[in-house]
Amino acid sequence: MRKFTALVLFITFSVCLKAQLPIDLGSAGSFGVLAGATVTSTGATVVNGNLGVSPGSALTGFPPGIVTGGAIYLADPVAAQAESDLTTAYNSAAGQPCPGPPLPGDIGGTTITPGVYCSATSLGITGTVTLNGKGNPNAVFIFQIGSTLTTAAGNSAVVLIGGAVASNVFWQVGSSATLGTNTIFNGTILAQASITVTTGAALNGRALARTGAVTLADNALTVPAPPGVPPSVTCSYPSGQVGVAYSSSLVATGGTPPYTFSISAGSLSPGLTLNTATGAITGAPTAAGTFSDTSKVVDSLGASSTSTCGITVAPVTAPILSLTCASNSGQVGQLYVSSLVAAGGTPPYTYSISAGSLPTGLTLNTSTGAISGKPAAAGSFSYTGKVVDSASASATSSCGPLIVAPVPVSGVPAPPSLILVLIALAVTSIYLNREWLRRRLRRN
Amino acid sequence: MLTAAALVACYASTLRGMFGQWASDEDMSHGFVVPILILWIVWRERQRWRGLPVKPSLWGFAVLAAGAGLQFVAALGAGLFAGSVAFLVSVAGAVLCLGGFAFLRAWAFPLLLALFMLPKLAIVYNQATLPLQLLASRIAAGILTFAGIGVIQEGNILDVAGRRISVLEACNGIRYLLSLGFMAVVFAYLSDAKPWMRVALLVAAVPVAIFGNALRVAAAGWLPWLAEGAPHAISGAFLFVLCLATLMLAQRLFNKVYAHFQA
Repeated sequence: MRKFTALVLFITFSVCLKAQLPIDLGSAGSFGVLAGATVTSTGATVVNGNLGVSPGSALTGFPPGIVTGGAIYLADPVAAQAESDLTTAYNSAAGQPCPGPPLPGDIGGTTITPGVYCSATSLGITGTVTLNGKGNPNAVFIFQIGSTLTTAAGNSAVVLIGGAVASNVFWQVGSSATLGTNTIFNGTILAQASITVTTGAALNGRALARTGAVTLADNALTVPAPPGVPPSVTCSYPSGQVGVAYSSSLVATGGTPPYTFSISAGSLSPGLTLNTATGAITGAPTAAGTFSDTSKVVDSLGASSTSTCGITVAPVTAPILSLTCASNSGQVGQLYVSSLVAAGGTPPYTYSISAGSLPTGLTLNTSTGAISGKPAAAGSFSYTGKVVDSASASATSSCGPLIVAPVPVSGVPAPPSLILVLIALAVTSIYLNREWLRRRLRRN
Repeated sequence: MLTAAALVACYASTLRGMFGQWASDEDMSHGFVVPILILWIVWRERQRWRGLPVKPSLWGFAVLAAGAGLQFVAALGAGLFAGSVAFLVSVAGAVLCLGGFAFLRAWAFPLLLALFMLPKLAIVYNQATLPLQLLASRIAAGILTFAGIGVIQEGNILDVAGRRISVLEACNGIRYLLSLGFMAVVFAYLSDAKPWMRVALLVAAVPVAIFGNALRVAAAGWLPWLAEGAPHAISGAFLFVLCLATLMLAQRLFNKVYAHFQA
């Protein structure tokens, strides 16, 4: 009897203590965005994590979109494995027993505790839905949705409280998911078909579509850190140039999103601005130099982290040196005047012929680029013109063929007949009087 | 003198046209020399014709009438060539009227020499141009080939070592032909008493002039620097003198052949 009582107590405790486990995403867990067909982005989307497409391979909008803290995998074994693991995870999420009553059609304005929730058809979120972890950082939320998941445009949000973390929230969607404009969303979306994240929406989680496309528009997507990791911010600014469009981003990990970014000390380069919600840094620098700042991130629970960052901005450079060829038409014996013309770079220029040659009779003025002279022979001449500026930058241009036309004999008739006859008369006179002339010469 | 003044007055427009062509057409500019030479020959022969009896012939009026008729036709639109011929016919008629047939025979050579100052007959010139062009091209190509210079002839186009040269109308050789023909007759008159020598040298001048012109084209094709400026003018004149020298040699040859047959 005592043994039986102990067995009943063990079984009871085992059932009571059995907590819901998070869905194992396998290698798909490192992907912020994963699609079966295509990934398309417009605007300055920032993906913190891997981005993959398989079996499709189409990727559009990167850049200007950027991927940080990960890499892009297109139709390769890494992406294929992630898609395979996604299928396993999707089936696992869909197969979880759903004990409670079905969710209403729209869960906006409700507070939900950890567990598995079902919706046989579509699920909407209008306004805020709060996921309360009840103080358990390992609390898991699984939503099984029969067809679509849609959040309303405007201020819809999935808010995490009571220690709930985004890495333990899963949205299994039977067809497609759409996050409305400016939605703040937490959790991993496992969609059978496609996922659309509209303008300005922020996703602290993953957008994983099995067969269709993932469409993004100026969003921030961050693969959530495991529970218990404090927030941190990293910056790896590329160099910029005065007057040239610049795009980079602060990247936050850990903690509890959403994050708020700021510059706590120092400053960005003039002309650049920080998006405090997404961490994106955009604009066109207006001053050259090295600009150091301390970037700060604060998560939704108030935990913060800072990082020392710096941007080097190069000054405006001279326009690119280029070279335009001279005229390609000449004629034997006729004066040819044309010129190689340099543009950009830093004058003065020095011109030369780096390959091939000019027609015989033409010369290049190395200071002015002028080509002049009278071609001596007809033909077709190709050459490579080269210019070097005072900063030692150089440019070349393949010129020609310079066609030198032959001299038409029609332009050179015999001297006028009057001249011919006068000369002939003089010669005849000398010939006929040669004896007399000879005598005169002897006498002298 | 009165007759001469009357002829000049009647044919003023024709003479003006002839002067205009001598001034504007380089093929005919030797026309300025022809009347001077005619007057010199007449003066040179003065001893001969001064001794001739003056026997005016009424046939002169007929010739004058023929000249006037031709001039009328020319004025109607036959052109300058017809007017120029009418002038020469009228001069011959005036000589007949004033001096008779003896004077006409004495001045026959100067009058025939005047044919060289007649304007070019357009229909003949146009018909002769293309054949002469092609002939000059063919001979020039032959000369270059003979000299070991690669040349390809396509009609009036010569491709000389990659340079394409077009032998156009102005290179047809008519200038050499007219000038050398005139000089052949003058040279024969001055150097030889035999009248047939003038005809023989005139005939010989035709092939010599054609060959000389072709030689000039070949030289210009082979050496481009000969095709313009002073070298061109000098080489053109030099080749013409060479043609004249050839006629001088031809005269010696004819005389030797003539002497051989006489013996």
